[in-house]
Amino acid sequence: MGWTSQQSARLRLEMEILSRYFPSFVLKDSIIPGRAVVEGTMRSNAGHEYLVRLRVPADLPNSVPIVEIVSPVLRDRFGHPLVDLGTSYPMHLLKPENDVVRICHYSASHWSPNITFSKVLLKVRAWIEAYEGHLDSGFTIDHYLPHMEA
Amino acid sequence: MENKDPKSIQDHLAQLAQGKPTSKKLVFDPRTQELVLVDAKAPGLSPDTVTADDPTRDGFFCC
Repeated sequence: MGWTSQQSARLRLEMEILSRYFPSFVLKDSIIPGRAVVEGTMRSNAGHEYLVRLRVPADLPNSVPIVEIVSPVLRDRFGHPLVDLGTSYPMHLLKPENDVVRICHYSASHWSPNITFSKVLLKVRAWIEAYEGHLDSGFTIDHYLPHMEA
Repeated sequence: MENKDPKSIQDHLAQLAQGKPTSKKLVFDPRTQELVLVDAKAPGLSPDTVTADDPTRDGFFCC
């Protein structure tokens, strides 16, 4: 089964917003719900590039989209791959899959269908800056980015 | 005055995370894809810039 007409309209709206704020992000595999991803490059203020993938939920816009940092392989300050941390509260990481880091951004209980991909990616952009802060300082990412209130 | 220095931005995020007051505001400039620190009361920002403080102040969920 494909997207509903409402979901198709929402996807168009999401991509329209992204074309303004994150123009490198493109929609891939958009035909089949559950397989569609939005992928693009983010560049930190220090000039480092990260390939970011947002998995479009099959029940768009009702679920929290999964966001992964596809490349480069992220390591902590001590050189250990971040995927080895698994779920990490202080680093704001969800359980990785396929050796790819997943960023925790919104909880299901804080999710609202009116939150756009653009706002999610803005949080990821801040996470990247905080990650580079971790590499410099050794502080965990929650030193820079607070936890959501329960 | 704009400040794009990564260390300054990270310090600003840390201040916010610790609930400390700051006279700066963090914005995202979609034209350059950079995060930029500006004076909180600064006028004349590009109309495309979006405030990045609020999404970070919301907090990050884990786990």
